Amino acid sequence: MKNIFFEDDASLLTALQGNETERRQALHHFFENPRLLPWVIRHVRLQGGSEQDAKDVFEESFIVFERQLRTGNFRGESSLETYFHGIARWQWLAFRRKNRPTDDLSKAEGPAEGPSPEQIFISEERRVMLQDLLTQVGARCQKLIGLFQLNYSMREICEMVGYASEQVAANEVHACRGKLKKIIHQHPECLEVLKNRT
Amino acid sequence: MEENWYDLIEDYHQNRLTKSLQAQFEAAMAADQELATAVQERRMQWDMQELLAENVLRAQIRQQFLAQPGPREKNAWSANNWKWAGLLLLLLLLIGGIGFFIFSNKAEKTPETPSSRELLPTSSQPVAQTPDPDSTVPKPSTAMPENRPPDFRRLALASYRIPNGVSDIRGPVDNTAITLANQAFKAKNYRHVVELLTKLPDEDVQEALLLRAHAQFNTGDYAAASNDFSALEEAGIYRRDGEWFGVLSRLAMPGADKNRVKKKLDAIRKQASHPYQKQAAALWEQITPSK
Repeated sequence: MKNIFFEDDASLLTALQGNETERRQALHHFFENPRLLPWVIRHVRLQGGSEQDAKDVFEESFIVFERQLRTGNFRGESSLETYFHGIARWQWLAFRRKNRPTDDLSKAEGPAEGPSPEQIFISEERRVMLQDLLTQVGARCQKLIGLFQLNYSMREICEMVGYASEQVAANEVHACRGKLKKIIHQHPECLEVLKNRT
Repeated sequence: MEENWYDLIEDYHQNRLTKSLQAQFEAAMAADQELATAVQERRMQWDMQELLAENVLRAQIRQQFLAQPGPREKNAWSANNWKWAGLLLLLLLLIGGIGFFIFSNKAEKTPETPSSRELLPTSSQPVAQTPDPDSTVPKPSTAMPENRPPDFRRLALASYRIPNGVSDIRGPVDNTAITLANQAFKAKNYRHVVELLTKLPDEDVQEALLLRAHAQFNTGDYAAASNDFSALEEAGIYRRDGEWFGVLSRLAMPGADKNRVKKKLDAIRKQASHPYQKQAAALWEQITPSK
């Protein structure tokens, strides 16, 4: 894929929230920009991590970053790069806490900018319970709801999944979301357990 | 008035209410258990949708990693280690220089021997027939086996990854064949999956077909896998999966028409919106000999 140069944050932000091609270009930009993935690799390696650790951290960071932009939680108080670096620093700390419990993190501090993973990530406990319920939705609906949640248009979903028309895609997405609601409704015990947990 | 609060659930969930309205909404929730439950259900639904969005994003990120592992690793290595590489080169040059100095000194001190020209026989002198090592020992060929066809099976297996969610087709809530097959697939008992799904169920046919196709691929029965993936290709949600994994099955299958498979692979790699476009492009690079 040709590397598209984004002149400023506004154009990158637009691409990240745009159509599928624009989003792919933005994602590609993230892999090619020397101040993003290589920055994470260097940061993680300097603190004793491996390249694979860095890739894991990058993946988690990108997921949080994308969600923050999509839900309008990025307020433009810093550049997108700085914001991403902040998230990646937090993610690296969270990664070490989870995967290297013997590491001494007493002196490690989170960055000043960027939200902490605890503030924005779905907790592991909640995640396990929800994933368990999600298996009941079926692979087809999982894919459709995932695309819908990422704001893919019905035309894009139609093309990606291979439906005959946008209307068919819209009906399928609607049916899948209905199925998800029904499953939630059928499991009040999960709702009770999750009620007071983040 | 109460219905209004239900209309505001989405705005409350998305933090779009003013502070005063938010406080009123929370007071209403405290007084109305049903409203509180509806809000919890909405949050749960949102979180579940986010988890599924994550799956899509993770797949896209991993595709990127898969598409560009080489240059990045190389760049990262050179970025981090160029100083050490330079130092090593300097050290080698130094050792080479010292070695050259020692050997050239030794050569000067050795007693004079007839020059090579003097040792050469003249045209009138008979030449002792010594076996020429070069003529008896065949030189190892440095030419690459350019015309050797690529190992299609190995390449197909290297490109094969079980897609996310393929074994999460149904929850473990019943004892239907597909649920049992799903569990067997998770346990990597692929033969059992094939046995369980010998006859496809009346419901979730596409899902069962997908599961059976992958199980067959994993047992090495590429011909059967190819048949199932072809059936998926015809219509439905797994049409694109059927196309890509059908190609892999036929590449791995002995006796399949590889030119036809290559045409199909070419078509996939040229479709920008195809979910397996990147993998197809990477595989194409490997099976198409560079001129």
